[in-house]
Amino acid sequence: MTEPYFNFRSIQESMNEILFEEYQFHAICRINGGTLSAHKYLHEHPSELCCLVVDSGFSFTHIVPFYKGRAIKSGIRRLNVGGKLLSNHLKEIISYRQLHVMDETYVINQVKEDVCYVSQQFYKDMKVAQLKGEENTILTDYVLPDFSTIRKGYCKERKDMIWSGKYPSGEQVLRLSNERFAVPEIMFHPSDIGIQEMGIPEAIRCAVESLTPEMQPHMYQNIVLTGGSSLFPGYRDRVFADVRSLSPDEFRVSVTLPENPITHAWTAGSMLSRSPSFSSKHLVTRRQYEEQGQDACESKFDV
Amino acid sequence: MVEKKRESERLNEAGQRRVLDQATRRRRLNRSLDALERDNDQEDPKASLPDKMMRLPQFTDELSPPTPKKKKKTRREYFKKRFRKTFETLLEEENLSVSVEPNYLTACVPPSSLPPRHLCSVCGFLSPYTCVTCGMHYCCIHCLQTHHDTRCLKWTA
Repeated sequence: MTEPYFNFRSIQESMNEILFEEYQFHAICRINGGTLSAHKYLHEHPSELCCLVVDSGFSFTHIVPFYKGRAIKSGIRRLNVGGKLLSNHLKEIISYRQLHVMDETYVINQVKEDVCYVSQQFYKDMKVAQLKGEENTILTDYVLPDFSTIRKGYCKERKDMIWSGKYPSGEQVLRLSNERFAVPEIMFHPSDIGIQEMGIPEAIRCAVESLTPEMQPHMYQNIVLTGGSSLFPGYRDRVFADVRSLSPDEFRVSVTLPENPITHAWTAGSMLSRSPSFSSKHLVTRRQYEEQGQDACESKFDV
Repeated sequence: MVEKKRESERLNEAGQRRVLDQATRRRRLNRSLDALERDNDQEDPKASLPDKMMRLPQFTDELSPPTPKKKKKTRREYFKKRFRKTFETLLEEENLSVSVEPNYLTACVPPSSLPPRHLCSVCGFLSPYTCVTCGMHYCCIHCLQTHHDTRCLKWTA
């Protein structure tokens, strides 16, 4: 079962109790999601010893350096920006500018997934988004679902768009221009809304610089992006560009994005569970729990 | 004929306007940021639709759409009311500020070394100016008018 980094002791203990005593599990393994991704990456690249996992999920984003499969705890950095914050922010700005959607979390989540992207040049895109009419390539109209005729929201085609005036068919349409790239930009610059934290590329640099100088080049070469919020188009290229400009010149930087960042940790877990050393290194059986109590889990699980 | 005393209109107007100080602005900003962190307990609008193919990705692990049970809802709300603010209390219980090893608090990322970019609170583009009273950013006079009409000090938050 996966859990977040630095989970509370009380929650860990109650989880052990529930799993062993109430559900009578034979053996459990509690692990961080990023550790699984790291294992898979090291499995696919056996020559590399270190890797840096950037897990941007729903509640927050963690940047975790790994050495030989174990997390280096002093290098873990957490940003409090995640998919939830991006969706809530999008809801607020749409509610203020166009249509009151504060209660429509699912619809706006879908809007965010369909329409938002990460821009490679923020200021240029801002200028384009300010143009009027056909020249504005960023502007899109998103048709909202009304659950009777339109089941799922969709973006209007460019040829169907009407640049001035209302649509004759009377469907509810959101007109999005700079929100498309300003919302994911919060992950790179949380100071845009006022959150006093570094963005993802700066946090990568901060995490790597807290390690020993011998490990730093290896970390820059093996950056893995996982988590649902890494599905924005252009995310990988933007992270690469920013980290490249922030890191020292002599280091080689390489950023990988797996084909499915959401299930990456799960497939890693299933692969790990089939490996021969899994049961000895990662599992705690019920017998061990009954004999030693909570200490068995505390010592075995490096969470 | 009594002449009206000539007064400066500009100074009068400036004197009447209420300006928030830095601490109040910071507090308002923090409150709006906390609002961004809320969990939204809304049901999937497609849960009651019979057609399974057209659904959005399910957020719950149930095979059949959950029929709205009144009893469950009230118990859940009751549970939430009793155990409100559990995250903060759990965090305090851990006493992380005194422990030496890396933990939840030390893993927090420090403030950015780059200067913040200001975006207009009305239209979202880059904004050079801030409202005198409340400190929100705006990009042009139209946005300032909209801001004064709708948002400027309209609610104390």
